Amino acid sequence: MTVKVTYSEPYVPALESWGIGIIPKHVFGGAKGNAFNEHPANKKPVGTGPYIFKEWRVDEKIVLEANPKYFDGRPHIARYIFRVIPDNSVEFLELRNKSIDTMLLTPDQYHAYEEFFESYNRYRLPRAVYTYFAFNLARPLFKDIKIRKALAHAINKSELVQAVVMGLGSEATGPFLPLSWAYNPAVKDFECDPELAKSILAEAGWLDSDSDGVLDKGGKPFEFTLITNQGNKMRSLSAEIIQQQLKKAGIRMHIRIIEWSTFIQNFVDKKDFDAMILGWTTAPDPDQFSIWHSSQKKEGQFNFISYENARVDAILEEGRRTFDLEKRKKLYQEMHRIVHDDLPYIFLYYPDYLPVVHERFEGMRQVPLSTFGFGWNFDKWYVREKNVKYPVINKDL
Amino acid sequence: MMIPLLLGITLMTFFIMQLAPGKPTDLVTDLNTRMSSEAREKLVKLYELDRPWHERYWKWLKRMSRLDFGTSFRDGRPVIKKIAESLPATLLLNILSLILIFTAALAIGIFSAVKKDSLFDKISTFFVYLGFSVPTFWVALLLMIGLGLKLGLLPISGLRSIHYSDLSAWRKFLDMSAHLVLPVFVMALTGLAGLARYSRSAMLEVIRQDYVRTARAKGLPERTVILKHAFRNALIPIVTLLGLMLPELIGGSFIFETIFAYPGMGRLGYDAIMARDYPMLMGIGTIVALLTLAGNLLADLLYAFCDPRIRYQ
Repeated sequence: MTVKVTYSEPYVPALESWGIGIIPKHVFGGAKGNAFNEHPANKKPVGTGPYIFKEWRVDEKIVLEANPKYFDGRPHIARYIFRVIPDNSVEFLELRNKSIDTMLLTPDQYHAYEEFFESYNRYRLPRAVYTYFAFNLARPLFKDIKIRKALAHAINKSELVQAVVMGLGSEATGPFLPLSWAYNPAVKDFECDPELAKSILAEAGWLDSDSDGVLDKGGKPFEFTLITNQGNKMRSLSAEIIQQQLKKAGIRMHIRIIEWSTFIQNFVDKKDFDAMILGWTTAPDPDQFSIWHSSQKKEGQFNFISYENARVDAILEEGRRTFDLEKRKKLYQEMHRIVHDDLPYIFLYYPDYLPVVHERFEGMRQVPLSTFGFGWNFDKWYVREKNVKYPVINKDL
Repeated sequence: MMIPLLLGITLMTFFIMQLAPGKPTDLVTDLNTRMSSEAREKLVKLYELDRPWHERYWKWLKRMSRLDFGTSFRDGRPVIKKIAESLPATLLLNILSLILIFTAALAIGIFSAVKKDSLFDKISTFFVYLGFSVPTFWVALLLMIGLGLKLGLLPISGLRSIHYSDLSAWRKFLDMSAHLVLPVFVMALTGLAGLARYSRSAMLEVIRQDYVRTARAKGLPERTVILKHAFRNALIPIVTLLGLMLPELIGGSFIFETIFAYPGMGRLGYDAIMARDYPMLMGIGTIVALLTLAGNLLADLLYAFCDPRIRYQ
């Protein structure tokens, strides 16, 4: 069967945006609108994948069983139980108790005593996420690129990587992952140099005239407020470390941590902030039109920092229409350089993806595809007969 | 009396819900770079979030009068079904810990009142305060490490084992009981302190009364004096506390349910708040209000049982 979609103009990320589960007609019976949304089959998905949905106990577990009719052969692991454990430290205890086989680790758990992992293998992969420090370019304080440059020189990213993700991550220079073809390896980061930061600020007229340790200009101290959302320990920790780093350069930064909905609704959407720390999840396709294009500045859109660069606009428009990979690569690598040099964000770091799996599982293959590079061949994972922990009682599986 | 009270509670819940920033659609649309603003508006329209709040409340109330709680925004399933799935687990946890709290607190209270200033009194006071002062999530984690991980006596979290469905009925019962020990115990720990102190002071108060001295003067055995004459009178203020504790326990159970990965209503409610799932929140609000009112009614009935002078017309 062929599905044909017609676009009024070329749109390269189209294929990626069409990822959607199968909606079998014999199950849904052509339900539309609300009847579709509320259809019980939404809770009992029927598809063509390696596993068949068996049971879902809300807030408790989801059970999947191997699909004997899977096109690539029945998966080796007969049953997959996904347990819901809301508290991360309890989840880790269950792992130590060997009652769960896999979980995602936080950086400090990854560095826990070796005895915790005696029957487990830890993995470390890049993750399709980066954390950034964003300037509100509409604020007079940050309009001048010199000021932003001074801050970029005052921040020590390697210290952030060491302290926040405990070395399990890497410094970022732009909006693309290092393993993406859009990444420009030639982009050199601003080196950390608090003295240079101070001299740049002095050139712009910011001096510590009353010697209280905080720079001032025209009687006003250099201070601003950084916001981030509640519940993300890595972000609040980054904020505290940056606060100390900027203090050394004579800048006073206040931190406000705000509950997610309020954060988005009252501060980000309304563009009511000086600076913030947040993260973006990146898709495999490098198109980031909605984040950087100057037409995306309305309330609730994602260019909430009011970034505007004619060349970046042109690249974003061109990049969506160009199918030639070599040409696209050139475009996005150029954009990487411009966005780095323009400093709308200070790109901070990429945290790593840290899964842990019981050692009896074999056959996993990793590919350099960020998060998707792990577990993609789960249907080919297997456990040797002598190592089986949970024998399947129901033999017809 | 109860109907207007219930109406007032739902009105307040609905109103306060609207004051909180954010919409149910935010979870899907917030910072989702692949979502256009048209798609967002469509979602808002679908859930009728563009209508004024009193209009929506009226609609909710009309549906409620037919006992229709609506469907959850998050997964489109009927609210009443989701509550029915999780309420029994929460009630089980609460009732068990309530029973534990009462038996333990009354026993400790009576004993330390009768043997005032004895070694038992001092030790029990110390431990009861200790249990009250330490953070419960910390106690929970310590017990999980000690009893679950190191000694392997009890399961760490959840309500059922993974192979639960393969077990015989008796094994199922044992499996669930083992899972319940830690949450019930930890939950009882917080409620215990206050109640034990209350029953101790209520008991001390009563023991000094004339009728207790009379009972003793009549030559009744000490056991009868304490348990029959003193204890029943000391129960009255404690019953008042029972009515107050029920909603507190249900509200507090969300913490325990989260720590112990326990599939109950507290977690359902917490997730609904975070997702601004209005129909779900209203459903849970109404059920909790009903339970609170039922708790108060229960306390009133117990009054009459404890104190024959109280009669309801």
